[in-house]
Amino acid sequence: MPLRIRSLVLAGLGGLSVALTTSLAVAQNSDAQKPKVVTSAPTLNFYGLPGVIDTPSAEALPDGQFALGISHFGGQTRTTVSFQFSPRITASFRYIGIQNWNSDGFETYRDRSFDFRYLLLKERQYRPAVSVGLQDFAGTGIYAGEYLVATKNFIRPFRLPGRAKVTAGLGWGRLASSGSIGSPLGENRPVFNPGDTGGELAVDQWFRGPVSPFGGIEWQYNDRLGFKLEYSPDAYVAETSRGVFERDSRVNFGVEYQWTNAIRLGAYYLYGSEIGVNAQIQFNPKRPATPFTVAGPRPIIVRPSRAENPASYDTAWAASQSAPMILRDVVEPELTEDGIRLESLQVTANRAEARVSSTRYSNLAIVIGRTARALARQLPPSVEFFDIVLMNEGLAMSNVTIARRDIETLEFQPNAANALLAASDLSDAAPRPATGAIDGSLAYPRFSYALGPYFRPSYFDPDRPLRLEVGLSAQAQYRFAPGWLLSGEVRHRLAGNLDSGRLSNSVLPRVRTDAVLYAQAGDTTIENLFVSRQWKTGKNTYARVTAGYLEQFFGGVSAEFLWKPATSRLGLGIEANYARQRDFDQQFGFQDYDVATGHISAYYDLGKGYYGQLDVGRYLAGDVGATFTLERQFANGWRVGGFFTLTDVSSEEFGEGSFDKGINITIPTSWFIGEPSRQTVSTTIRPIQRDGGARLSVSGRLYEQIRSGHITDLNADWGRVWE
Amino acid sequence: MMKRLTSLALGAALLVAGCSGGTDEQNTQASKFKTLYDAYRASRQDDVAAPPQLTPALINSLTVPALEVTIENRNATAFLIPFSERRDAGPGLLRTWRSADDVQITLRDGVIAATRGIAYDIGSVDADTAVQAIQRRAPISGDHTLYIKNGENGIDEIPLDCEMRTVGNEDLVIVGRSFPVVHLQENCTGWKGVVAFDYWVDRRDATVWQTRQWSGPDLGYIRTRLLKK
Repeated sequence: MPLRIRSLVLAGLGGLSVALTTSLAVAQNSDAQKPKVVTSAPTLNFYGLPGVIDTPSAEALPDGQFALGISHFGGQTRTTVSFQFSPRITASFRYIGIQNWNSDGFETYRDRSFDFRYLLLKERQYRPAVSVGLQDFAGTGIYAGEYLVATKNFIRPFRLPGRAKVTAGLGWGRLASSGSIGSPLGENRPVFNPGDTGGELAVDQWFRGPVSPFGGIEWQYNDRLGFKLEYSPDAYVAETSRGVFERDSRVNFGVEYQWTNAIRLGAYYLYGSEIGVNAQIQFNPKRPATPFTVAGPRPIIVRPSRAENPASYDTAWAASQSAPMILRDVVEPELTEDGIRLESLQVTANRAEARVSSTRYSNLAIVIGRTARALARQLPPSVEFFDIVLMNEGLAMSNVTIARRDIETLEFQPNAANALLAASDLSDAAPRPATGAIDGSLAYPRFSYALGPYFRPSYFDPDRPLRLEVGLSAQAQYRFAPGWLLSGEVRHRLAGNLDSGRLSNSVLPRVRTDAVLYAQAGDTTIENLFVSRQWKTGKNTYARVTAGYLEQFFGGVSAEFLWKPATSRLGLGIEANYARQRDFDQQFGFQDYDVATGHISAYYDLGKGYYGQLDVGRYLAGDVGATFTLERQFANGWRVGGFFTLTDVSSEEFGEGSFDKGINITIPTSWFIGEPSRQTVSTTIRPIQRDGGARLSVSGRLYEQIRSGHITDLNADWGRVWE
Repeated sequence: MMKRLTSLALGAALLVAGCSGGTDEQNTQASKFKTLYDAYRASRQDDVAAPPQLTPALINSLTVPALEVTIENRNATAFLIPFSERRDAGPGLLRTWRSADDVQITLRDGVIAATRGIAYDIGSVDADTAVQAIQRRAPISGDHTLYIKNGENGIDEIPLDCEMRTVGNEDLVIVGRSFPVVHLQENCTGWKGVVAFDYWVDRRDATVWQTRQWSGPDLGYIRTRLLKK
């Protein structure tokens, strides 16, 4: 900053801030005007999907939308999470409890189910939306049914205020349990069996058996108030035959109220006998809970032109032995203040390489932009090119080359972010800094710790849907050299009921289902304790070795190798582990069971934020097979995906669920707080945890560590490069 | 039972007082709880000092230029001072203003060229015709394109087709001082109806004393008043 301006700022801040300056950022929280409510579109049914009351509609949620539906009527509670995985694909996971079941060994019948819906036709002026859906499509589930449905919106119907929506469809399975008009695609359809292991795709029953029409009308009177009326052919055979409730009618109706933009509540009269309620919550990962802000950057200082001031472009400084150290000492403080760690700096007469890692931002475009600013502000004018090497835990992820002239000229040009992207070059980074590089003074060694509470949940126990353990956790990490990590976590349980869960009935080695025994064995445990080293073996290959108590149930040695060029969509990896089961008390001892396990993995960036992963190999129980993962990643760090694993374990050996499957959700903390943070909250939800298809849980797998510095993630983040 | 209660109390206390430290941000449950809890607490502290009463004497006493910026739909006002000045290939002078907490707004001869630190910021702008109109103190119609940051780290391009007119010559009063200005107005289509940009430009030297500029679907209208030149 020119001295004159800097002194003005200082004088201004010193003299003005008390008298004049009100924080814009704070002020906006206090007096924000409440906007009008935004009506949920579409609204949800009792299955947590777009629909009328108990029947589906043809609508899709807005792309990326999450919908949480909690409904209750006649002793039946359904909790459903739906996700609009793509503009046309909606996927749902549901957990239900049916009281007064009193048969098949259950007082309350609990079950999990998955739904899938595909939008065949989008709504047009004279054409309804048309969708096809599979409800509870895995196994002979209680809610198994299929449908083909159309929905059309009308604005100011019959000159009434608001808007109306008419839905009509054909249903199979549960949706055709009364009022059938025939069986066009075959008669045979297996019946619901509460004791079935379930889990497998029930292709043989889809669209078989009788078909019944269904339909309904929704009238949204104003922004908040809506009315629904429907005809539902669902006879609730399994429920009414067990006395869960009485069904006297096929007509349901109700009223809904939009409480906030996210929350909609409804009350209904269903099947001529029951009062029902439905809470609908919708939000979109694309819209952060708190909008992201980051304090503005320092201004870029534009060099005088070479013609104006040729002397300033002199390169004699480069010959000075003290120059690198002096330059590091002026660049590093700016970066440190901005949450960027300078790992090394190498400067020649016309080029500089800064190796940096982020301590604050998950968005690495901000790291690139601010590093480039600091270099442009501090380096001698003769330095024309900046190589900014993004580092993570000792791994050089990629090299972004930016011409200093572009940094100086593009910031306030139209479409400035894309203009800089087009002018920048992304390439593989050399494993180590060039000769002559000066290490950052704060790079190594580093020590960190955290002390606080932990929660360990366990879901879907038939006796108790949610079990929980709560306690204190102490974690420490020591990074003593590039790529080296010594890490450990000790936990002390204060309360919980994990230890009263059901004991395992697994016929496989109990690599995951002995959690109850682990919970019973001791209150103070070593959650993990390991040393790892990772490094780059070449310009696009990475390696990692980890040894110690790797996870809650296993300790051992893990080695991994990954090939992933910075600009490639494809990554290939191989991992080999020797693991031994830990003692139940989770101290230092081991049990007898040990296994050699490992995988060959392929990672592919499918484009538009979709990622696929295939892992083939041997799992913890010694079973051999493959895991298929498909994930959607939002540029702000949200990740939502599903996976399933098929191995040589039969569904009978596997037990309930037939094979391992589940959902992964990762939410960046910054999405909640609106400030930069590298923290994430993530969870994996499995309908049931069994022993087949279980993978060793090693922290620090390479692909996850480096992808944020590669082409797709960087491009997605790039909109913030000038911040 | 007592033991369990004590444990829970201890746990709750630690949830509040949980600590972390060292050189690296931790991604443990404990440190995440702390982050979220701290943010929640910060959001509860909404005691904002009332903006100062602006008087001619106060303005006179300032030693540096000052700009008042108001985001209408947030009912938020801040007072900014110059941070840097520069020129680039586009027309006009770029002046970046900043608040004490590094909210920044960059004006190109009064036309908003970028904002930083507000959320849903204006990344960049293409409004050369508006700048030229201000320099000439006479209307010129043309494009006014905004590049707005969205909730997904991306940029949404909002191209606007604008027609500029002279509303009239006015005497603009800012905190007791009067300026002879021409009021120029851009009416633009391209985003859900008509949006507007108003500039009050000094007829003597083209100083932009006051503006009201549409700044994207989230920020809405931003008003600026130059309190001291």
